[in-house]
Amino acid sequence: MYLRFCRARVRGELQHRVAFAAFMVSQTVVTFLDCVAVLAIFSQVDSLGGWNRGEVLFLYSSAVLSFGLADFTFGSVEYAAVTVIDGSFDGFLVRPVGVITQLLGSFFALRRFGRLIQSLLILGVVLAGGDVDIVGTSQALFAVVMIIGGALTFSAVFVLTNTVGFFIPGAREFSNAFTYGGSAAAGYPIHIFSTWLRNFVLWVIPAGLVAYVPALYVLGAANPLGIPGWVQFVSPFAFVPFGAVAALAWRAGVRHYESTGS
Amino acid sequence: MVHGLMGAYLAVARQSFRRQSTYRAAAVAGVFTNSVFGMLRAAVLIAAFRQRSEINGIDVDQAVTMVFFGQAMLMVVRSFGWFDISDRIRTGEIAVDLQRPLDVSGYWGSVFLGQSAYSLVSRGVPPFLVGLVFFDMAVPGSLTTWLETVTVVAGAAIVASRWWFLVSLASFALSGDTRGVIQLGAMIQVLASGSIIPLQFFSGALGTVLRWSPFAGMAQLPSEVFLGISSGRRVLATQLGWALALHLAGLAGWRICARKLVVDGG
Repeated sequence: MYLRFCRARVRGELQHRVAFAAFMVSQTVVTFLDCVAVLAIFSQVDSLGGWNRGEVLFLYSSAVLSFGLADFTFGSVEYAAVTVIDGSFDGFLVRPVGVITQLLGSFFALRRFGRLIQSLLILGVVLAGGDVDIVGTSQALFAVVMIIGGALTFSAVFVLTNTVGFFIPGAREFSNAFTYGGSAAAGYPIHIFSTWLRNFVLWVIPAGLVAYVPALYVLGAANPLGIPGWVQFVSPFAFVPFGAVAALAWRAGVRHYESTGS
Repeated sequence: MVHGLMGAYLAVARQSFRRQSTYRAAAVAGVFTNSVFGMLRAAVLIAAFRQRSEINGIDVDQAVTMVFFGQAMLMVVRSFGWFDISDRIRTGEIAVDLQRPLDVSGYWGSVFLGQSAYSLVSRGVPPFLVGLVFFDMAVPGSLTTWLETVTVVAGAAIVASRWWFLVSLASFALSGDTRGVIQLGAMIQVLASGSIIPLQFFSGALGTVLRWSPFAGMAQLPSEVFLGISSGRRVLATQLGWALALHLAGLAGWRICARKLVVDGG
């Protein structure tokens, strides 16, 4: 059902080719801006909190890849607040298909794929350039686990923060601090942040758990926070508690929704 | 007559200010987001300055000030895109604007500046104050510098209004969803204006090009006036020069587009 919604959306998008191309390019470039910032910093200094350029770029691109996968699938949940405001959310409730399936399907956008292309490109360049040292097979495999786990955690954050839209429809941007802010924060070695900002990024946004902590194992990079090994191994599975909370919150949000009637 | 016309534009700007001010929750959420981003960017720059005490003429406190100044300017110059005109072109409502006894670019310029003024108060100043609370920043002591800063912030909004008018015209040329074009414009703007990272971090030819682009006047140069690095008069002259160039380009573009405009009846 979800796939059928998606196919219809893609056909619609491809009707206007130039506009679609511009959209795809803009999506590809948008997160690239943070990459430019990283490169600009490393054009002036040669390490950031003890991490070299390759390590920071690996961290950045794997975080963006996780975020991109989450955005591609669950990003459309942003439109929940929009449909609550314009009243079309009513329509989702009367149809015999799950609300979240309809929402994600109805606003599915192929152009969000742009983000994935960009992060894959950078990841490829970093790995091919020999800037980083991923020593063994287990590290390489864990990198894959880290990216997929990260995508699931970011998806949970998308759903959780956009639930706010049911309670305060105007505050849609609030979720941006967590989702987009999270993906921006995840790209940096978070031990450079002050204590409370670091804790915020680690446990609330969980961007730190998504990328930085597992990357410590993958890269064998400097670990000034002394994060224990078992935490590094468990971190990709942060999506389990976050997903559970997100599901509960979403259900509460849908229940809280009251149609304005007409 | 001139007085009456100015009065009309002022009334449009005032209405636009008031319309924006109804979205309170959005403003609070936006302040939160801008503050978080400001803190992240500031922390990254502070880490970079542990390696070097000075980068192309600025120190760490000045760099942090630039970050929060950039966050404050984001919405004033609509760094994430301005969709008001292009949405009206897509829906055909632009035809209504053609019937107004006001020049279209002037009318929408007034709307833009009204929104900018509101954004400065609601979305610009608060994250800057958050930055002051959490970080060491360089704040000018002289009243003249503050006055100059206010002037070049206004200059930034004027350049941005002309830039977005020009970009919006793309909606005439393209069918379908033109938000992508606007987002592309926004990305060029946000990077080249120094809002993501101070332009001091770009050395060489790229740095020079960015400094002379119209976008530098939207955040980077005003922040330099605030810091006392650049002269307020020279920055204002640069801004007005670019505003005029973009305005003339926008007018020429509008004339071509309006001639081709066919409104679907209904």
